[in-house]
Amino acid sequence: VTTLVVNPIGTSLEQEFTYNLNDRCHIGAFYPYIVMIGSPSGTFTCELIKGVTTIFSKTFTSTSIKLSLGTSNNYAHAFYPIIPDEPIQIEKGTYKLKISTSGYAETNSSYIAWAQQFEDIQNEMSYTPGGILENSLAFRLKIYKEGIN
Amino acid sequence: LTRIISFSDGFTSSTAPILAGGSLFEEYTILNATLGGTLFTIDSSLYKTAFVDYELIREDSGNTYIQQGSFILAYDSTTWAIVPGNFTGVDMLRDTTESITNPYEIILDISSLGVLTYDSGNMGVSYVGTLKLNITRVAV
Repeated sequence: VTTLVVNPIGTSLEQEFTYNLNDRCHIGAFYPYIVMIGSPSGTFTCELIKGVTTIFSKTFTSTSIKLSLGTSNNYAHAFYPIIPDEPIQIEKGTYKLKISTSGYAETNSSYIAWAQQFEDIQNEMSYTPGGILENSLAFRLKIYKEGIN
Repeated sequence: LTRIISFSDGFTSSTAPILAGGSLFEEYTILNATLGGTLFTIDSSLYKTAFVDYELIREDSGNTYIQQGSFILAYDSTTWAIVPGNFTGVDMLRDTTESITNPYEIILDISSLGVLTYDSGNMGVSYVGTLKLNITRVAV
């Protein structure tokens, strides 16, 4: 059994994060922990934002998620890979990973959610959660570092 | 609203995951003059208790009737029952021992298998109505 704390995306959800290393890095993929309930229609846009500038943006759909997992099932949870068409580079600093929706109607039986870090917390949080419902949204980055520091 | 869900196994499933606990928001349209309208089903193998806060609004062309309150869905090892909590506007939500005497009333009922249903009074052609529920379920 996999138990997840999930946040239906609604209009949008975003997670701020800080890249702390001094060397800049290349990002090969973004992996938000996406939960698909009932394969809803609509378009979902993943953005990487620094300040007010969108560095990267790419859309996905329920069909994309199903293709990625090789399934016809309408319920799924996975670190869904969003792969930039152009190389993304980031430097030390604070960023936001954001997912927004369009053409999407959320119901209790049909929605896309972003799971929180829960049983397997991977990203250090800058605050102390008041409970398991207050963990940050889960994601991974595929990072290629320039140097060894 | 944050939810806690459980997938039985694997990354994908052809069926919906279990809502394991936490808080769930549900919003239903309450149809006019309806008998046995279905709201949701609660599975006694997964849950024995659900705490429900609600807001019920029924409107016709001239009036808005609103009720807020709470009740508990409780399983006693053989059957489900609605345990009334605190209400305001007590004319609008009645237990199963009563019947609709005013058109703006509804009656909630839950079957032994955990199907929550309602009967609603007839408020005419310009009627609209919603029932919003905040449900806190406790997984077995």
